Amino acid sequence: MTLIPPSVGRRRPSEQEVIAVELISGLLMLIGLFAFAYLFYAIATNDTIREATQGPEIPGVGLNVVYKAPEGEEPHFELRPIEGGQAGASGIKEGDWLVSIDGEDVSGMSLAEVQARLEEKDVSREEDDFEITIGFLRPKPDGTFSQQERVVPKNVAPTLTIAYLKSFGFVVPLVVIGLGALLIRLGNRLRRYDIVAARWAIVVFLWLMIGAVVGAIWAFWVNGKGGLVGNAPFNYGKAISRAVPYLLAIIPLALSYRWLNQVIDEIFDGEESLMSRQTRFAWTLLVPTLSVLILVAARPLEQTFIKSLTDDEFSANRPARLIWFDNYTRLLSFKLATVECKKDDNGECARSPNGSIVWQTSSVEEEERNKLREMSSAERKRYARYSEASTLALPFSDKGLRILGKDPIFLNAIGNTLKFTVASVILELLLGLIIAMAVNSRFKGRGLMRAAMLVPWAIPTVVSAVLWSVILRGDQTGIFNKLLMDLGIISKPQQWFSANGPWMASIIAVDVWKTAPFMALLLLAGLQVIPGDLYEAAAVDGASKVRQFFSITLPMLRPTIAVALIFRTLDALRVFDVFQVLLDTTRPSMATYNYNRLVLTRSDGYASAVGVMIFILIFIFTVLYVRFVRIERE
Amino acid sequence: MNAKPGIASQQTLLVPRRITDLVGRALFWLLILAIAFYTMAPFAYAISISFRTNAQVLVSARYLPEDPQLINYQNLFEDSDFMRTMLNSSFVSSVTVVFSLVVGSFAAYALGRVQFKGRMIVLYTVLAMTMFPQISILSGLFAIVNDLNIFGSTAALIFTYPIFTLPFTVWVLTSFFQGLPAEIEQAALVDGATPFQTFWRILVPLTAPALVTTGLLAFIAAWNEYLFALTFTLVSKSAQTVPVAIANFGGYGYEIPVADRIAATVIVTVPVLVLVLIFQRRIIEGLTAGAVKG
Repeated sequence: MTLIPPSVGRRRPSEQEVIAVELISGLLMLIGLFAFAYLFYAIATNDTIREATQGPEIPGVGLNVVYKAPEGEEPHFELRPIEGGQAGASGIKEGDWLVSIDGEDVSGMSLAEVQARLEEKDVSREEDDFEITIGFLRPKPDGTFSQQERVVPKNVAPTLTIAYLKSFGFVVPLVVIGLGALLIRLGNRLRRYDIVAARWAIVVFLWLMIGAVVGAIWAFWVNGKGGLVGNAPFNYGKAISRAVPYLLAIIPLALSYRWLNQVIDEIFDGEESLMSRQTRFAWTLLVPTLSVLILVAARPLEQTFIKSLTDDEFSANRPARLIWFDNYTRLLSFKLATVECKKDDNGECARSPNGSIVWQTSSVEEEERNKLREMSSAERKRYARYSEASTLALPFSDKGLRILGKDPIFLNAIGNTLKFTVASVILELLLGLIIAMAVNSRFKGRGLMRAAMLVPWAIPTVVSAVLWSVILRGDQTGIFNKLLMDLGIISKPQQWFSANGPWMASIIAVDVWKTAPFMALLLLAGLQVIPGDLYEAAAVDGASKVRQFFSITLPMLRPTIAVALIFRTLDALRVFDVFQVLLDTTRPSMATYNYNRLVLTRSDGYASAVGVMIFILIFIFTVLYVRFVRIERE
Repeated sequence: MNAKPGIASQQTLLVPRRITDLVGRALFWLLILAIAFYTMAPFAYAISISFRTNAQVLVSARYLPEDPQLINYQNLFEDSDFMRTMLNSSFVSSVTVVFSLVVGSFAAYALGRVQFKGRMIVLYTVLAMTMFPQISILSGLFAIVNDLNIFGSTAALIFTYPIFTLPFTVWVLTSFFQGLPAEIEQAALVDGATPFQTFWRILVPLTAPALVTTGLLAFIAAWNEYLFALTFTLVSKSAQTVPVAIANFGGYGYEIPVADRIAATVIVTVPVLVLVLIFQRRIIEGLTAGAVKG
């Protein structure tokens, strides 16, 4: 190895210093290499990936079959579950006689045939249901048999693609590889006594030290607490032993950091532009925010996209399969059909007791019914048919437009969310504007009033939803009904949240009450920076107040309104708490539908696709708004 | 803050016409009263309910309690579980706020005051984080929380809350830093201060009001958060926060203890209200500087 001496150093480094620089650059490269090595180690030793490449430890149902033909007894297949396998866990015992596999009688089959059946190698992965129904006879002590049947799930390895994507994804490996490469390059540049490299090295050591301290604290705490917090005494031995490596790693980092800081102006050389200096400073400050966002947000977001392409299910005994856009087509496929209304005796459209029109079935529904009739029961089970999402009455005719979807609830959820968003944001803007203008004028008790208007906003959303569910009770015990009845506005209690009632209006009202104050707050801030002399001048010119509002207040307030609208629209599109608390699961918003899919049916992949749909919708709105705001400013 | 009222100040300039003036005044006060009623009445009703018993609430609606009782509050203060959720909420929210402010102000300074390559990319990446619905990252976060062995602890909440508080903090603080005059740093640099000293000794104290505002908004967001808290503390009651506790109060079914729940609502809202009352001025000042430039 040849040591490159500095070209025109401020001073020639002594022999020890040359060695020290070599050591430090070596340390940097080593850390970079370590990042690579750790990534590959993690991939190589990952359980899911190992299972994908080598198959599960106990493949299939975990069942050995032996052909037995003892004298005096019938020849039969004897079952021998492998210890720890699925068959044993499902209750099959050694010595049971195999009778049938998936309903098919095994008598007459050869041993090889039976084994092939159990492995189900001929079943393609796409249509596999990942379980086998095994019928068997269990010998009783008295020589008789009891006939039994068990459904045994199969251990199947995920495909390598899925295993890798679900365990690692793209973002984290790319970040690790990128940072590793940067560190190796930095080490190399440091050996050339480049002052810029030296400064970067100092920054790197600083953050590595801070990272090591955080890591030590984390390792100490996570390893010390046993299980869930408070369930076990703190294990100091384990905690300390796990934290020590991090603390030891600090020593070389700290030494390098200190030494580099001492000699940087003496032995390193070169010029650095202001721009590059600022860039380094900025990135130094950005490190914590970016690492938090990568750690906490990047992985889950990426996972949502990946999962939305699979049929992943929580706690399902099978690996997820890549099904590409099937989730999306199922979510979004819809058909339109016109429907006639049912006529009553007078030749007019019949109405149900709650006032809604009674419709006949549409042509699409007939088609679907016929299709189902021709299917086998297994096909029928898998088939998602089109069913009614909603029907709109067409004006001036007896016809209605029916929207049918493979997932009608989701289609309705999109409709609900959009309706909710448009109505609540507009109402909030109007109300917020009124409140802001009122509170902006000078009057006694203005401070108190400003605090009062923030009350709804300060109450947790889920809590205020609970409060409103009490206020808007559908019978005599609801105070709002009582108030309206005392005032003589209604004569009998109104069901505010029932499916036939004005539930959408109620939900919007609750949300507007909760968020109009925030809107008012933002708008008030905007009103305060409008110079007062503008109004004075306008008043001198004889402009009326209405005129002043439209030609001064509104234009000056436009940027603030735009920002407030963005904030509120994005929030409204993600609405969750009010729908969750106040309505049942048949009338969801997009976010609550996502939640129901995740929690009630545990279909993680499908729910993720819903999440991505929400994101796309929000993205579209954001782009539109940003465009709108830009145009307004230029 | 030099508040310049728009509508009120020019009333003195108008030709005094007594009757229209009087009607205008009356209408104005009516509007104020209506707003006060609209924003305050539901909470006032909550207070009224909290002095009634469960049985009374289930039977009839009343504007004022028939015979005010403190039983609900007594129950709550004797309920050690509920008191612990208050502690949990305070702990989680405070740590989240302090963390977001420290980390976020670093990033905001870089984004707001330093010209460097990649600035816009970082700014927009941070902004994009706020576009995701919480629910859609829930299962991914769940996996990470599980891997880190912090499921069911308050640490899981402290770990995940920066997802929504941090981008917000960075965003608002960046616009504050942008609003400060450029001479500040130049003067400091002439005096031989390092960039970090300039940031820590000069700029941070200058933005103290902004920090208070942002901190308060982040605190309320964390205090009110429901979904993450519900999911990550499902199995361990000892780590639950206030919104979860209230939503699950007394379990499910027909006999929901309404009065207890509402009393709990009143109790948990009071601390936030006190904070809002104290900082009411600051919030509006802070937003004045922040929102407009956004």
